[in-house]
Amino acid sequence: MPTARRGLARVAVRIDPDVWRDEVERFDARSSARITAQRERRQLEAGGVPVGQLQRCEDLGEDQTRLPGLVKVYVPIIDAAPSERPYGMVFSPEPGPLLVFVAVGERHPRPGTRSVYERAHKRLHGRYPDE
Amino acid sequence: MTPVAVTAKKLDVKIGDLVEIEGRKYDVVSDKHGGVALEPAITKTVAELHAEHGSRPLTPEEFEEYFGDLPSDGEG
Repeated sequence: MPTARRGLARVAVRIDPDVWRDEVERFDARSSARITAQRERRQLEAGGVPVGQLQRCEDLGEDQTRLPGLVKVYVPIIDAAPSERPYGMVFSPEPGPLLVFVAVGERHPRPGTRSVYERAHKRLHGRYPDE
Repeated sequence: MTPVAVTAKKLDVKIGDLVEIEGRKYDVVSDKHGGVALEPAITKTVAELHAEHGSRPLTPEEFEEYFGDLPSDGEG
């Protein structure tokens, strides 16, 4: 279990409504991805992210995404194997610290659909890694 | 069923363009097979998300201070 510097147990989250709409409304209203994300949003805004669930994003990921300075959680945010948590949320930390919501989506989508990491890459760099 | 003739609308767009259809914005992106596809647009950058609140991302030093001991998984 990772330990947080400065004794942090949870980190507060800020979710921009436009970004939430970009990320979540692309999924069908009855999809598992959308329902799961909406459920997690209520928890995140009420209590933040448990530091023990956070991971660093990769400076260079296996899919060629470059996400230095960003962090992520597997979704749903529960104590379970990664294979049981098919979605991810990516955040950009700012002083406080406070986590700013960047992207949510499938970690390993079917071909032709962008992963949460690719969408975070575009929000960070202005273009997808293959563009 | 009688086939209905459909006239295609020609769009003068290229990869990287932003288009709006019925009030929703879409990015024109590569479909990774030589063609293009539309994806729900990404309307704000990370820099804008911080700047709108008068803030900024953590510096690399600050990131290490707060999150340097977090694990990573190699995915992205």
